[in-house]
Amino acid sequence: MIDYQILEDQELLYRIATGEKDALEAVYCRYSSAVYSLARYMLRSEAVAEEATQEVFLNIWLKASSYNSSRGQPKSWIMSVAHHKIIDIIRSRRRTAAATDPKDYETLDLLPSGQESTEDSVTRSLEGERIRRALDKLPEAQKEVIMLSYFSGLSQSEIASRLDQPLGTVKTRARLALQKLREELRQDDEE
Amino acid sequence: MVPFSPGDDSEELFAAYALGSLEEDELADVEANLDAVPPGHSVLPSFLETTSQLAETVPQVAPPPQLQLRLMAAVEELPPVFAPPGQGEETTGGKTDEADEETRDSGSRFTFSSFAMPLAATLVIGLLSASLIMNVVTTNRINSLEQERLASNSRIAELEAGQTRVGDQVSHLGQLAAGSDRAMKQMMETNYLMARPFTQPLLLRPTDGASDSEGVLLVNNDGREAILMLSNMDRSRPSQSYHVWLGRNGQQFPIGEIAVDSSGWGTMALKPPESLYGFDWINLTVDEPRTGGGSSAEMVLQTRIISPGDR
Repeated sequence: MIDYQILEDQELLYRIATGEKDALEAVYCRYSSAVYSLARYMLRSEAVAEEATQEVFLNIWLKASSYNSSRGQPKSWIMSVAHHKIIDIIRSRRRTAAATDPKDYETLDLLPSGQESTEDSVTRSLEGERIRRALDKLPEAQKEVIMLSYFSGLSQSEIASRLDQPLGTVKTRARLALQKLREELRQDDEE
Repeated sequence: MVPFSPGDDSEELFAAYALGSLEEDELADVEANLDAVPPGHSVLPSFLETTSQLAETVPQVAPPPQLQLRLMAAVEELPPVFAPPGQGEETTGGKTDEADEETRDSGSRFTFSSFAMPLAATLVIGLLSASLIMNVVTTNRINSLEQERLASNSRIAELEAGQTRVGDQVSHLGQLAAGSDRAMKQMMETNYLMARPFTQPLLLRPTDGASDSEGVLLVNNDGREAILMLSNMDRSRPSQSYHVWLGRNGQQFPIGEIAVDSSGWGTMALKPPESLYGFDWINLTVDEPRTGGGSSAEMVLQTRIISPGDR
């Protein structure tokens, strides 16, 4: 009898790829809170967050074979799958709203994408003190790009438009922001 | 898109990828070219690790318990996926549902080409062989059952024919027995009448005076009972019925029919509603067919009824 709860993430993904549903349940138990919390935060709807969470784990079930350990930890891959799916839903909702009623578009756009409200909200809700400290060390312009892209689901073109900055500037800020954040977290780990 | 090379451009692309800020077409390009990046020469893993930590900063809320049940139910409805990790193209979920389908198909292709195809082919061949054998066995069995059915039907038909013959014979025997009973009873009645002291016989003679047919009417003393016996009736017919009439004052009244057998012999008991002695005569007629259709009654025997007191 296999105890899936003690298996490493990579082993679980391998077993999911071979069709073991118990392995998927173990991954779900391990990451469902993180995925659901991110979805609820970004989508601002419990019902949609539930739907998104289910789709994320269905994606994991279907795509586990595409996980490549040389490209990162299983946890990074799982959260990346979740994040991309959530962004997919956000953009889909934006398109639907824009195609139906401009007022709806404005309303939806403000919920996850409002610059100040999102930033403030994320800042307030940050529980990881270490990550928050690292974020705080970023230049404001770079931190802004991180917030608008990762938590609001805006594309770089949309961010450039919103901030009235050239697209190249936004790309550079995003790269630099992640590099610095990575370094800050790495240093924090070493300390 | 050209495969990634170390530098700011590719790092910006990976940063945007990790932050989820690529447009859909850009995202598809990046995912299509990830395999071209040599392991250890990309910042993508570190970027993805960093952004996954960002996800942990939001308030942590547990999903509702029923969500796991719904997920597993949805998984049950999906076809099984069998492919080891690290073999397919890496994707992270930013695609549309159609893209998801393509990914799933890609996993299926790997499975069939490396492992399941030979197994499936073996299974198919095995199933076909088993199906062929079963088909032959079933066909033989069907033919055997069909022959058994035909034989059974033939036997049933024979039994039914035999049953019909037996039924006919039983019916015939019944008729013979009934006829014998009637003949025996009439014989007893005749004997009884003949034995009584006041019974008188009346002889019926042919009306044409040529044939040798005749009849005897035995009448008891009060004329309420009588036995009519015929002999030497027309034997050219296998059986014949004759109408029996009583007459007086120019009128005649039917009192029954008497049948004769192929030997020309017949008998019947008469139970007239009033005494036979109240009538003047008795005669027998037979229906003769006429040319052109129809029939006519022809008198064949007759006699006057004479009461005992008139003798």
